[in-house]
Amino acid sequence: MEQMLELQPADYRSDIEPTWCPGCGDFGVISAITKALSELKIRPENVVSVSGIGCSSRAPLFLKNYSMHVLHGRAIPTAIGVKLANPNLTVLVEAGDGDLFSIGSGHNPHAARRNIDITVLCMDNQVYGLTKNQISPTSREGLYGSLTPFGSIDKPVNPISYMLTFGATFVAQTYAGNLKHMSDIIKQAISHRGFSFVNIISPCPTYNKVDTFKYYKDKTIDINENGHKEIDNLQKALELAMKDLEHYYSESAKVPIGIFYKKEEPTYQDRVNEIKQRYKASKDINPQIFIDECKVLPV
Amino acid sequence: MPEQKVVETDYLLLEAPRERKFITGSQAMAEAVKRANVDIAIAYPITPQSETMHLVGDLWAQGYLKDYYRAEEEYGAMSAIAGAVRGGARAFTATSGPGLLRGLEAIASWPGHRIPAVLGVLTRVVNAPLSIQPDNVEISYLMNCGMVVLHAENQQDVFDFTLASFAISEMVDVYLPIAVCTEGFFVTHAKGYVNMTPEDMKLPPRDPYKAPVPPTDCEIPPARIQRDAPVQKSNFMSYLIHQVWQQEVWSSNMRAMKYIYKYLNGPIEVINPDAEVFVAASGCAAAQAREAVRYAQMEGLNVGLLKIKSIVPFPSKEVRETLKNAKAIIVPEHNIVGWLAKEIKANIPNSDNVIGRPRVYGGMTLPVELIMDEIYAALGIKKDKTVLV
Repeated sequence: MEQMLELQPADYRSDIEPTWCPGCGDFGVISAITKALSELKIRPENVVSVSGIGCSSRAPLFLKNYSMHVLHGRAIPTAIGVKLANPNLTVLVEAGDGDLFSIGSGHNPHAARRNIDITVLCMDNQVYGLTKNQISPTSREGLYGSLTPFGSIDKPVNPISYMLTFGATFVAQTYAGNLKHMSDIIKQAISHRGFSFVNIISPCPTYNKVDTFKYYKDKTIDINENGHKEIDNLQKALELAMKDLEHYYSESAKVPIGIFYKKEEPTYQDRVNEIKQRYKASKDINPQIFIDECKVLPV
Repeated sequence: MPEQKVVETDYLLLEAPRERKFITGSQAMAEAVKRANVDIAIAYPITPQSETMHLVGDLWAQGYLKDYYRAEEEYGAMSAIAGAVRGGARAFTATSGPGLLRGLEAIASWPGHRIPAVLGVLTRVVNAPLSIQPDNVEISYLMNCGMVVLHAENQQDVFDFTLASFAISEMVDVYLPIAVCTEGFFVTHAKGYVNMTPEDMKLPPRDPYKAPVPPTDCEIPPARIQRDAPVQKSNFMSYLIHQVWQQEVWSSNMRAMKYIYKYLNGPIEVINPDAEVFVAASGCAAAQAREAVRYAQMEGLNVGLLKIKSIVPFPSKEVRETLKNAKAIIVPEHNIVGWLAKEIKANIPNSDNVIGRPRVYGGMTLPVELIMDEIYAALGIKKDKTVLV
């Protein structure tokens, strides 16, 4: 058998220098991704990164693995296509809060509820950076943006409860200022069989003057080290998730990081394979058997 | 799994015995998919819907397809097609009217991504006012994407064009998506005779490594271009990369023409090449034009038919040659904008001779009488009222 060289995180980086602003949280994110892939010993040729449009969506350009840089908001459905065509690949979606919770928000629920085995990494800077400072779906109320000169009047989306509600089987949050925590969470997300979502708080030093590294420095609290052990309990996960945005409204509130929820469930591909086993494909297949088997509860 | 024998592409498309069946256009499209060794179908049940993707669902249950993924809306479906094709699969989808326009966001980027997928376009009205009737204005939106666009006249065309499209789209010197368009209802829901290849024969499987742009190689385009995007460079590099890339897309599109000659008997069909007046049409309008030409010939009028099968690449040379002596060129269409009339005008020197009528839209039928009126007018024949044929 051919001897495989052990790859270091740097071996997962492409020859392209990142064009992010100095101090951007996304530098940390790609470091965490490469660290996680190297520790998991997943070869770059078996990884596909899919991204949409935005500062964060440039991440795949700086990685050596295969990638598709697609339209704004369309990273998830493209990643689904890749996974369906080639289930052996590790498929990562590297996108931002605008991509995943505004223009592409309609794709998340269905990838999550179907438990499609992809890993979605949301680099959440609570602002649109590439288009030069507009408020994003995760921006706090009052945040200044060039289209909202009087500050945002919208309530922010809570990415954690959003993904939990739609049935994601792995939901976690981490922070770009904590490389060890971040790479550990990303590692677990990639290892998880099924749909995994990680919200990475990744401050934008250029346009978001409120949600900065300085702001988050002592704000985060590791929920798993502080009592949240029952990570397969959706109820508890949701209770914790509801506190995720509390810090926007209360100075004393902390930002929870760690794994909110993780549960092994059959993936979409598992279910497809199961029905293929149960009903052998046949030319004589009769839809009536499915109609008869579909149990309807008495009204 | 149904037993199907893989046969050579040329044998299946050109030589295999054919059996005659009386089926709908939707059935014809599904029958072609059945014989095309398709890996995956991805679709969203858009309104207005045709039966096509339901029948392809049956094919999955019967074991002809490996997978069928129901997407949540059109741009999700079209994005997933891109992902699946780049992942190495042979993929098929179909849509119509508003669904096509919604999916156009992703479809327009397929050619640049070099996605050899086959897309069924079963044309319907584009809003508003709300209607679900056949009208083919949506084809005009597809014409500038860089993909190959074929327009089928009847159920037989639907079968032939769809099956051949799987082969043509994956040719190394083409490697582009192909849209097989036909009119909703008039063709999809109506039955016609179709000569089909045997059910137990299929095309060879897709070999994703036999490609001008390997699907998963980061060092060569398009993966390299997608990773190392031109927007990262100077503006000059960005212009240049986009320019050469798009030139290659459109050149590849032109190269599809030789396969259209090989597998579809050429991009045009001509009846009475020495005619004084031509009726030039595509899709369902060509069927009505064919009838009009038959009536005109019965009346002793020197009228010919030019049926255009390939809208993109447009057969400029062939159209110019056919119409060079025509006194008048009547272009009946199922849309308000007259995209075919415009395309013909742009491709011939004597464009004043093009009569962009009759046009019906909103799903209205195209009575042969309307075409006959234009023929009489072009020939200077006075009629008191429309003659019922």
